[in-house]
Amino acid sequence: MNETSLLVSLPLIAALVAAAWPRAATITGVIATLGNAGLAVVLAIRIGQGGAEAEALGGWAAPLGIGFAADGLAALMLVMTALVGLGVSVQVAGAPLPDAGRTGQRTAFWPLWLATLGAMNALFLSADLFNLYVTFEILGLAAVGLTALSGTRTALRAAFDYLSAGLAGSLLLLLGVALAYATAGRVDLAVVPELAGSHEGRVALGLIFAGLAVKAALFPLHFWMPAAHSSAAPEASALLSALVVKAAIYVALRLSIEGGAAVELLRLVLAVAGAGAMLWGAWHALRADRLKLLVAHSTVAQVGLIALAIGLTTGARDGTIWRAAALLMLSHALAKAAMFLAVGRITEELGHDRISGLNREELRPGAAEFAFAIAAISLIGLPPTAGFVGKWLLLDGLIDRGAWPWVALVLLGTVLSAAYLARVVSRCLRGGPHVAPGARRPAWRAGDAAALGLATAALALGLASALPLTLLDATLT
Amino acid sequence: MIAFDLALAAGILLCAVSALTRRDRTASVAAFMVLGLLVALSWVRLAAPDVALAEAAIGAGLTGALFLRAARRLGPLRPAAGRTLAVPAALVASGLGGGLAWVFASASPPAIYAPLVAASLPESGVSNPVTAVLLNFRAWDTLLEIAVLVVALLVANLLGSRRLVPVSLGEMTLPFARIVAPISILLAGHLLWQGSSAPGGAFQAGAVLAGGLLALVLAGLAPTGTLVVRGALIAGLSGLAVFLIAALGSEALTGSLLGYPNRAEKVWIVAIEAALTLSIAATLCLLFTGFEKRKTS
Repeated sequence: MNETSLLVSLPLIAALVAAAWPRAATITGVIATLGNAGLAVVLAIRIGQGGAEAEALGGWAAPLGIGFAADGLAALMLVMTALVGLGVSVQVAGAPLPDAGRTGQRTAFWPLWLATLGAMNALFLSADLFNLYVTFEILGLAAVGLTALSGTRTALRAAFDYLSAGLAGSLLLLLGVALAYATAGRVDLAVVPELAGSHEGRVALGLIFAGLAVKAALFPLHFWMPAAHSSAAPEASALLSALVVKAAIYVALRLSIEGGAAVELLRLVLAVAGAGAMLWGAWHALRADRLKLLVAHSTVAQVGLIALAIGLTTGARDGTIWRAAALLMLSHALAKAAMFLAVGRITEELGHDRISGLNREELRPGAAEFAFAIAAISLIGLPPTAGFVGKWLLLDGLIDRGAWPWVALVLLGTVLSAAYLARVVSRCLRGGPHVAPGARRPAWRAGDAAALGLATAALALGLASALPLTLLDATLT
Repeated sequence: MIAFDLALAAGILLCAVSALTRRDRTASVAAFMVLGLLVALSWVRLAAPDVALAEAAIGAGLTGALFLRAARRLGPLRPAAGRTLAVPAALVASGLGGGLAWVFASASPPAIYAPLVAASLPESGVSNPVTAVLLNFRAWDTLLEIAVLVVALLVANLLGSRRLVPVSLGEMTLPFARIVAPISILLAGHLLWQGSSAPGGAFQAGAVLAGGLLALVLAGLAPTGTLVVRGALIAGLSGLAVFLIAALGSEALTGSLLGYPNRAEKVWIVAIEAALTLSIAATLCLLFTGFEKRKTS
């Protein structure tokens, strides 16, 4: 049996088992997440060696049927999802979410996460606009469930706002796909260059990009996101911030690559919105008083940076910039998931998540603070992390083109991200006279291991960035 | 016929305005349901009977029922604070709508998809092109749509929607339910079987079946134990399970995900649709009745 088929079907089967049999949910979820990681790695190795693969589902070639396109970019995203999923699963398996929802089901996380995983895998592999829309529907609803999981009043309100924003995004996306069908008579991804050639087609692509911008929380359509990501349980926030947002960004990148130079105006809008997001998110992160809110606003800024990179992608074949965007997505996913898990652990130890209260004399910094610091290094883009390699590629491509204003913007965004993350890291790196001699150390938990593991992965991928870059060479263009 | 079409269009607009402006939730939902029926009629006029059936059964019928249930839980409408925004919102919406209508009208689609479907229809195993697209050419879309329903069911379960406690609706309810329920089963079976050659299929059949089940629930004839709810939940999940197993099974047999074996396509399609019908009916029913037992009394 083919890995792609298993990647899209096994998580969904596991989700059904976990939902029908709550007692076995944890074990089912862990096994499925592990199996998914194995399959993703096997597929990535095969694509890295043998090149991109395409498959027509049911034997019906596009545009009649739906195609899967498993290329380097898709494989990188699959591995990214699998890694983040592993980390979060370790955390949830070690410490089940407290009284999830109102029914007291401690295992409700698993079916929702597995459905998210199945939908993400299907999305990365899909080569069909309408099929992408359907995967977004699963993803959006599952994400609403994940947001509501903690069951608090603020979480429920945030989940409802998430649902409303997600529906608006879906509507725009669906309108765009319908218009694409009305213009070109087909909806497979190969139609994108044709769409970019006509007036109506460009409107269709514009609607699709607008829908994606809502779903990716791209400034100025990000209004729903900080509340949702900061009021959900930390494990859910890690998934939402690291993965779910990436789905929309991935499709935007895919469409930009397919559309090439013809979607210039759309890409310019994307780049400007990205720059706006970088500054806006950073400004709010600098002013946030709660740790989770800071991390959520930093997602707005980082999504902006990635959107900027996608917007500045010129050609499909040559540019280093889209590779930079892909690497930035990967590093942001790992670092942000680590950061949210670390914040969850810090909050658990401190009993609150106010930034001003991070300096506590009777508590030594633990593994969670360490993980946060490594993740911050990767998000800022300091060597030797994956974030550094991504930013380096981006700046390299921009300097080659002489696009100095954009270089300045990226550097400004970097300085700002260093500034707001330093608010936390400087307090975490305290020691010496600030800590009382008898200060206790926080105990080890599964969450520490998960956060450290993910943060270390972000660090290690910087050293081994040849791996993802070779994989990206096998991308269909 | 042009007069009828114009009247239909005017009626649709009128219902939409009424649904948006009523100060009473129940009246709003009633206007929405009439809107759904009129839209279904317009689908008939557009020669899309499959969509018309789905719109009438799901868009007007079950969505309306879900809205009514939600309206009951929400209580009376409070005076809206954001009334001042109504005019700008209406302007933006009509501007956007007008622009889109213009773009859609100016698009002249090349005939690509319909000829492809027509050419491959004999190999699809069914003679209704809509079913051929939904269950064969683009079956993967349909599978994922069923997954959307499953996730909706899971989220509703997570949020712990309270279970419906039917109140007595008068003495005609019982005879009504006793007639409607068997008819809905016959009708669902008919729609399911007919779907392979004429308008019909799993979604429509499932919605009709759910309607019959709801008549039983509202008449107090349906069992309400925790085990029943659990069974219904598992029935709701089973459609996706059968579809996924069929997808992997067909890959084992033919080497292609959702590629049904030659000459057995119709058997596979009808079997999948039968499972989907039951599962869609159970899902829609559960979304209406809720899961959790009322805590007191």
